[in-house]
Amino acid sequence: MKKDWTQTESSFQKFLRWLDEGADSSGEKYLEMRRRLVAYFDRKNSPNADELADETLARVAQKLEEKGQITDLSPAHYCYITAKFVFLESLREAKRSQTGLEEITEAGHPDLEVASSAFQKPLFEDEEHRFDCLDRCLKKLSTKDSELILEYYHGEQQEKIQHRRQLSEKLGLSANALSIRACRIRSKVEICVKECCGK
Amino acid sequence: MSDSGKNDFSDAELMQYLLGSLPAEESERLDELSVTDDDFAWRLREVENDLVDAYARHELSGKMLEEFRAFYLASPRRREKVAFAEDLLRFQASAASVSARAPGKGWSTGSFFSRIFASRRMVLPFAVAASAMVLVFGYLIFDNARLRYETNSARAQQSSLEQNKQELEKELREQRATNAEAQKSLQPGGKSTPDLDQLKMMALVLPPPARGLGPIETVTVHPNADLVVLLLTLESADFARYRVTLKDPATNEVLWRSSELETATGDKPALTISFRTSLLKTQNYVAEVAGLSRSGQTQIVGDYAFHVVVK
Repeated sequence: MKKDWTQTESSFQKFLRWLDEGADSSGEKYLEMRRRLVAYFDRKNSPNADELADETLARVAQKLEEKGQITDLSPAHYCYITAKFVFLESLREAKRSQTGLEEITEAGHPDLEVASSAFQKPLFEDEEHRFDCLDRCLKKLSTKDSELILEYYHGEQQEKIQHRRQLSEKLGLSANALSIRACRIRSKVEICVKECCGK
Repeated sequence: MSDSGKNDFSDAELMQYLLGSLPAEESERLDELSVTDDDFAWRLREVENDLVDAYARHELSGKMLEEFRAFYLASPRRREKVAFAEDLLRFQASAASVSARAPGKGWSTGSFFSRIFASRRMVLPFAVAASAMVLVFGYLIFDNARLRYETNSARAQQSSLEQNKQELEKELREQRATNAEAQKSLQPGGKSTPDLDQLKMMALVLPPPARGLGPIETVTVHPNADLVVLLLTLESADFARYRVTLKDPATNEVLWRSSELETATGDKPALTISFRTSLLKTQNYVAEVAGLSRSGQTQIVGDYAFHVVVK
């Protein structure tokens, strides 16, 4: 695979069409795949999950450009297999860096050091600003959606289950459809809050 | 996308996965599904949101809380999710209090404080309302302390149940090891014979029956499993011996009956029963527990309802 490959507009459009598998999602499939890959790398405790997700998608796009088509696997499976390789490579890379770091620090695992130092840092400097962002982001939603997200995630354990049951009856949705809708709205608000906080 | 992976894992397993405590092989399977299976990806997101919300509400305890702190909070991205959950919880609490003051309006996402103080005419009524709220808050603080005490007791009980379960699992593992050793000693040539270690068991801990309606516990039984082990926890050990009857609640048909049992020793009294999985199919069941008094009289102690999913 060429290291100096640069994605062009046409190769990117081709990649989007391939991910869409015949249906035009207006880039939604791409964003969803990216979210899944970021979450995958993050669960592996990769410190640079976003970069690895982008690297994965770029490699798949390059492969598609080089081969013309990929038919032996579904786009999602192909992305996953590529992500595994990218992850293994990142581990090897981290190991190389670790060897260097161990020479300058005697204490423990450098990854853990990084994680623990990150843990000490405050998440967002201004809690009130973050809360204000949430208020603003919820206002951007339609009344129906903002009510849904507040009601869906309201209550503890038993109360919550009961609440969701009533909500799905009220909206005429299956429990599964309601949960997906609530998750989508929550993701949207989470992204909005991050952007508002300048992350 | 395929439906195959969607329901193969329980919510508890998904939580273990999210907390990094699932064995590597299963974890890898879930890694794959999380990227390739639409339904699974959404379900995982839902479980993660609920897990994070539970942490924000201080509902996690014991091992799960430890794992959450040690693993989940190690990532800045995941800590952002926690911060979001905490803000959402705070927002809900504030919106609920505004909504309570304006009945019939439902949830409001407006800037409630700015609306309250938007008009000077609102200041006096607000002061009166604030005085009333001081009294209400006084009561709420007292009630909150009582609820906290009850919650802590419930958590302690849950932790004790978890300990019982772990002890039971340990005993089973030791028994398996002993069986395997015994088999080896009986087989000098090392030829393969049915291995007792391969006995597949499903275990479920059932809390004392709750008053009123509540969700019933679900046990997922693999068709190839051999035994189901139930740990029935009791409020108190009022009888010397007990008997458990497994019934189909739809027909009241008796499917299985235990011999006379004594409660297991531990922080909380409990009865352990086990029966073959071939008795079960996907439906609800009731384990009826009866206490046997010294005079020979029988008294029903409680009905432990649970749902079985065979797959």
